[in-house]
Amino acid sequence: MSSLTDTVRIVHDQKEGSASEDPARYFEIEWQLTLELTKHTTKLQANLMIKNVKFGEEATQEVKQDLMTAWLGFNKSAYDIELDIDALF
Amino acid sequence: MTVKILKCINQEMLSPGVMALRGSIYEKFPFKDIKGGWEVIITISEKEYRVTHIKKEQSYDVRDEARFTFEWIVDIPFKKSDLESFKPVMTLSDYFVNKRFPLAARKELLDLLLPVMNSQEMFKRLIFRRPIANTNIEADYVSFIKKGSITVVDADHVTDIFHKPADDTPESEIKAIRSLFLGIARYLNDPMPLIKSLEETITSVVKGGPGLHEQLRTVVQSIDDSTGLARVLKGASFEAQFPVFVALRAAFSAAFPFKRIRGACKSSSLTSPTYSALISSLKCYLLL
Repeated sequence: MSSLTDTVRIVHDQKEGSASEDPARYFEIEWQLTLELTKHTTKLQANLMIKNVKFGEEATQEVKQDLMTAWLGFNKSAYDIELDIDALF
Repeated sequence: MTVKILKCINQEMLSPGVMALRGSIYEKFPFKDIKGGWEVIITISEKEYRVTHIKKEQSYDVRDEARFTFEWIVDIPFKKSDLESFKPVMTLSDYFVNKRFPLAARKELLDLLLPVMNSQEMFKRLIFRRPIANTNIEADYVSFIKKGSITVVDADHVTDIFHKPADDTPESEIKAIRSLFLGIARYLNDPMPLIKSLEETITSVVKGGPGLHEQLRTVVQSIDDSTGLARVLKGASFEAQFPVFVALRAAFSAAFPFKRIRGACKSSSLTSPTYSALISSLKCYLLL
């Protein structure tokens, strides 16, 4: 048996939906989190991607516009992470 | 310079953080120090000096249904080119709530902690520092095997480490959980203790013993924290999604409250030409 020496990639897929059941305000966001533990386990890389955004058929243009504006303001780069774990110990 | 750094190594540097936490969380959820839970790290690099205080706190009430812990950081960087200017930053780096903590109170506590949470620090602590015993994992792996994946990547191959359940029956779930643990165990130097304990667990569940979640917890808690297996299992736990939850909640939740979807989708894809154009402009962020 070998030790855990290769890169291990762990992927989480999740869906979030609006708390409101109002069909005019309904939306869903699908996101994917990938964690990579590297060979020597001194680095952890985490990437967050939004895979899809969907709205209910009755969603108003105003709701769509507002959500997309909020997304545009989302600082994705803050959650793309490469950590040098050596610095921690 | 030495004097400046030494001035940063005293409890007074923590006072603004303590005051902020006392003015928010403490009112509703009283907490106290953890013995030995204060570290100071001094970093000297080419461009800057850095003094980092790491402080652990725990709930006053230590009953399971009220117990929580958290860790916060005060980071004080000094640029070598401008020693007069420094901007201390306080962030929350880790957080643990006992599984018996009531859901409503947990949400209330989170609302108070969110403004200072730091996703990067939380990943680091979860995977490398937090004991696996302090990771709420019982139901996580059953959920993870349905939606997530673990692959081993080397120069020539990408290999799936476990097989997804064929359906939602307990038999399929147990089979998939077994393949998850055995798949990871293949990469351990000494996988036999884990395999033995897993086989006993599965036999016990099949014979009608304690539930799968409870048994899995026993298996996971027997794993050495310093192993690759522990790191991968912590990465596959629901806790690993928490920094993303923090990020999304901070970005969207005030204007667009949301919740986890467990069943089938009930929405349609975005089709309006206007919003298709918007999506197109966001392709750098979206994996469509």
